Amino acid sequence: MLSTFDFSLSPVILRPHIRYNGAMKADTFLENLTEAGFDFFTGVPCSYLAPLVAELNRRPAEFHLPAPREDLAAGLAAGAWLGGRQPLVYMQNSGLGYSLEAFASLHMIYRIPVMLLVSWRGPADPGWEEHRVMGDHTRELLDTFGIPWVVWKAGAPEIPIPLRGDDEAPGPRVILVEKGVLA
Amino acid sequence: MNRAGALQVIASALGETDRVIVANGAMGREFFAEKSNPRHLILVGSMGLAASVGVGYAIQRRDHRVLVLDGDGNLMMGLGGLLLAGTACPANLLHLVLDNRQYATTGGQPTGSQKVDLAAMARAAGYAGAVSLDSPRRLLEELDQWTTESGPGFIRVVIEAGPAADAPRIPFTPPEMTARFRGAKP
Repeated sequence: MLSTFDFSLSPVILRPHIRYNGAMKADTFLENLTEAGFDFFTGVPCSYLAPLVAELNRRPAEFHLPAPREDLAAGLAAGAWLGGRQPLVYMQNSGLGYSLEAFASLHMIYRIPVMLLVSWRGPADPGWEEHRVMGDHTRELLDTFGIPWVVWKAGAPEIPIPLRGDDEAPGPRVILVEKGVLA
Repeated sequence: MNRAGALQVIASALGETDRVIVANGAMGREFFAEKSNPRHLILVGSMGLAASVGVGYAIQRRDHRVLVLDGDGNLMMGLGGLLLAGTACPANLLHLVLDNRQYATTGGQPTGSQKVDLAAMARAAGYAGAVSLDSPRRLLEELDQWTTESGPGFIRVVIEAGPAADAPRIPFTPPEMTARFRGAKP
């Protein structure tokens, strides 16, 4: 069934004040996302997001289709939205580099909304050199592209909601997920 | 067969409920000039992603035949799109690649596609069928067999290399194309 929820008209995408203690259970989170209207998921796994991906892997391809790379996930999500779905793309921040061009020349100019759940590798990974540069610059990158973002901190009292910026253009919005948020 | 000839055959085979995702480049402008239709989404950027956009749409809207109109440079840039189509296996999807072995839009630099068996790659990725052809008659025969149950199919159409035609710019902005495509009926 196609969703009638029009993501492009709604600045608030998650029910506010979903309270939880400590790490959030992935099945509860997925239930919240589904209630908020998200009905297509794609992306590339990260260990931070593994509990959510495990839940998603029990769903059919119309609901969850993993992608081999993040830009392809962005393309899939755009197609699913054109087909009436409300997509969420999950990825590590290392995948932002691959997908920024897709967001810049597809979602942002064609006004195609997509919610991104991006694990913020780097700050909590001392010694993991491969995450250091992207981790240091993740927020600046998003700011440079004008993509609204929030940080979902471990132990936060509620799921943060990335509100749109001043302009009304739909496009990507990002929840940066810290280590230990999902269980 | 040149690109204009191939696009004419393709346009003639499209019905009123079909959806088309066209990869970026001169091909999109030429296709639009051949057949302007709100059911066709022409990408102006995001090179390499036409197939993944098409798969994302096709798995949600299995009531429509969905055509991805791709180029050899585009396909080779987003080769993982073949894996998505093979994995998700939308039976309503047809992935058609106009292969002129060059980046015609940027001046004719070689892509190297003549060294690659693109149809074999599609078969290996899990497409239900994949063919390579170079005649308008064969192209029309293949398009005639396309149904919402026959795919995902892959057709490599080998066309003559040559400079991009001087097709006019598409008179719609990207947001206008999105609104037209999303609102298209039936």
